[in-house]
Amino acid sequence: MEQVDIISVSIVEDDNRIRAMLSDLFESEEGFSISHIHASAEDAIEFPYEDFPDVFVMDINLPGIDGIACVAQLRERARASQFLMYTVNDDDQRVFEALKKGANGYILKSSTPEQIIDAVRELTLGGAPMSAHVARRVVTQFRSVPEENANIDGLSDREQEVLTLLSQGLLYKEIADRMGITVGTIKQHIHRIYSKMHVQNRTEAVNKFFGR
Amino acid sequence: MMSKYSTALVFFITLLSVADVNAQQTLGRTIEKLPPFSNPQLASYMEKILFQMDAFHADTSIQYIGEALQILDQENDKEELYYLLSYRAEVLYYEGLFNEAMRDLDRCLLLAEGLNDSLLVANIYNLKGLLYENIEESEGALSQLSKALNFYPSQPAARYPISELHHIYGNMGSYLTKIQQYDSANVCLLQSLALAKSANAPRAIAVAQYSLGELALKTNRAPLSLSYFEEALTEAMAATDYDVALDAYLGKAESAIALNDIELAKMIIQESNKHLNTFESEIGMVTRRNHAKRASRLFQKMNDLNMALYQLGQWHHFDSLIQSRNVQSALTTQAALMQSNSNLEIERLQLQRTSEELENFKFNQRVLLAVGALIISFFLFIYQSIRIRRRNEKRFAELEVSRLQQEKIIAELQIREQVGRDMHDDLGAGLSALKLKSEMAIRTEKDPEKKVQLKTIANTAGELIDSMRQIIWSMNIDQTNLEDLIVYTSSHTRRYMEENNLGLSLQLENQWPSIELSAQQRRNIFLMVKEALHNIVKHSKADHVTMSIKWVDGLLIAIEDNGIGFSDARSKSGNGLKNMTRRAEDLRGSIEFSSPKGVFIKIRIPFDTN
Repeated sequence: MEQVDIISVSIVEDDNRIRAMLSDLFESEEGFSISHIHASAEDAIEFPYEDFPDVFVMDINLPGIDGIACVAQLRERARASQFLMYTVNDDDQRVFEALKKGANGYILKSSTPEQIIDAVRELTLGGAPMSAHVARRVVTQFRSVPEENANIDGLSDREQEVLTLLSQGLLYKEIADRMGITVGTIKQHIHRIYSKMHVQNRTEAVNKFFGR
Repeated sequence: MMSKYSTALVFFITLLSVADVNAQQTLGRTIEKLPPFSNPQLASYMEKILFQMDAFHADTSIQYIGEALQILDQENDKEELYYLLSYRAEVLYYEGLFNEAMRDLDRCLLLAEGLNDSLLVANIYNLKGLLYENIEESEGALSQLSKALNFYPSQPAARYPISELHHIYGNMGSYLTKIQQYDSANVCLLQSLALAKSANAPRAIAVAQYSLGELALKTNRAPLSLSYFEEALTEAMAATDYDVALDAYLGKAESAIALNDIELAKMIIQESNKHLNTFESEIGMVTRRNHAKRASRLFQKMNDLNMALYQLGQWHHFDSLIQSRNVQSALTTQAALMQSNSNLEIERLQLQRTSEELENFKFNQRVLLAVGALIISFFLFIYQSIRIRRRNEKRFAELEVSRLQQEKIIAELQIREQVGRDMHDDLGAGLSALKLKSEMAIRTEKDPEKKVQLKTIANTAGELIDSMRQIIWSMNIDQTNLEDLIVYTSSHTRRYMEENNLGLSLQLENQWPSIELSAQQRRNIFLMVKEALHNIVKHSKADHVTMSIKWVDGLLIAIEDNGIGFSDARSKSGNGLKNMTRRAEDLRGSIEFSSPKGVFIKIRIPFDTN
């Protein structure tokens, strides 16, 4: 992925304290700028965009339409944007749903400001995080689709290895040692795995539509 | 159960052998359509009933039939009564209420006899044959179907849809296949196919071809079966009968396997899955369930265990949907049925009257002994019916109670999980905001003392969030197996050791038995490990931890550190250790502390694997 000079960020968050803090954070950090701020998914969906931001930081738990549905809706229109889900808990089934529907990564609400900045920057450089819990879900997802129907190449050997080790609960550092690669490379593998999940889901949807 | 029906049956056979009825072996043609019922209200009810039956709405069908029965004149509208009861019997049969269905069919037989209409009689024998096949009365099924053939007239005419000859031959053929009388089955199925073709009934043609395919498979004639299934598939698709087409696909796949062409078989199954997706809205749940089971079996045969497991999962998914739906609809149908039945007295009187009428009618045609025996058997029949009906009512009431209890428990668990999640989301959001705010403040704060205080606030908030996440995790309904617990615990251990700069050697089993754990078990086991690690970080001054989790007829967890062992700061009688001991006892397990060098903790939790 290319290095971008200024990363434009949009925030979709209903809690006004957090919204204000995130906005301050990205405004005050060099290399970032705030594109738009939305207090609800409806607002984000109906907004008359001229340009889409590089990254959406989106709360999963929004009132009305939730973050997962919001990603699903915006995904098609904002092709070049990345979606970072902002969530209280990564053990939740909802994180996995969001990733399936088009999110590119997630960050916990209990992260430090530095970690949030790093996560957004990493996303634009092609890297993404994955917890053991999410990894186990992803493994099941890829197993249940027979290769012919998936219309993709499935996962590469390296990607499978990363996924398996993640699902066993190993830390990035441990996996990096075992596979002889850097943590950054691991995150790039994860980013690609998420993209393959998106393609899978779109194919399923298309098949159903044409069936009628 | 057989005894009461055989009593009636035996006497019917006696009557009929003495009676003067034309029994012809027939090659039928299409059924001539007679005009509908003259009573316009009844005619309109019949239309509604047929529509609901086509849509498989059991309780609505029963309701309409009940309403129609109310406006009947039971004295004079015998033919109307016959049709209504015979359709009701069909619906009850589909809902699995076989006793009720049989009762209606026996009444219908009497009516058909009274009307001296052999087509109506043959129809009932066909339905009874189907019923017997399902309640495993093996001899019964064959004799009923034979009688259906015997009674079928050469020029059939009926007002409303009724069994056709190709149905009867088809039923007989598939039944004979089931009891392995393959030659007779073949004859029947070929006859059914020929009749269906001349009657231009595409679905019946497809079903006959499919049955012939199944027969060919059973008699090891795979190339023949393949061509039958191919024809069935074409015919079914042309008739837009997508569920028959689905069965035909799997028949082809099975034939391919018999011919050792695994590639072809796999390709066909893929096509069938595509077909399922394409016609999703037109294929019923039962067909999808049976398809999944059969596909799983075929994959097993081809040694593709991954796909076999996947299909088995699909089967299980649909099966549980169907089971719960069946219990629901059986209960509501029974309720509708009970509602539509008038009370017992009128029922008994009606039967009495019908039998008396029949006695008068038959008197001219048969011996006095047969008449007396018939009356006795009817009273016996009524008496048994009442007893069985009472027993069923009680059984259904009990089923209803236990079903409601189960629903209540599940609802409570779900509510608890939801409350936990809501609480977690609200509190978690607030605490996260707090943590974020204090950390943002640290970035701009100059005074080192204030920075430390802010960091403490942030850390405390973080710890609270972690605790909440762990509570929510332990209440999570969908991660209940042993392996999930192990992954969660080992993840936490790795992260915690990493955060506190301690070395870790972690040993786990490769495979875990699939055991389901309760929320209490998950929570206690996890918290014991968490407590032990916390103590090591806070008190032991160690720099390396060795942990192993093994399965030896139960869970065996060993944690060892290379620290200072038990000292004043880490007394053996401290609260932390007391908590761990209590948790172990709650799980009916044991915990040992020893201190050769550093501290060694051994936890043992038994499980009963059933």
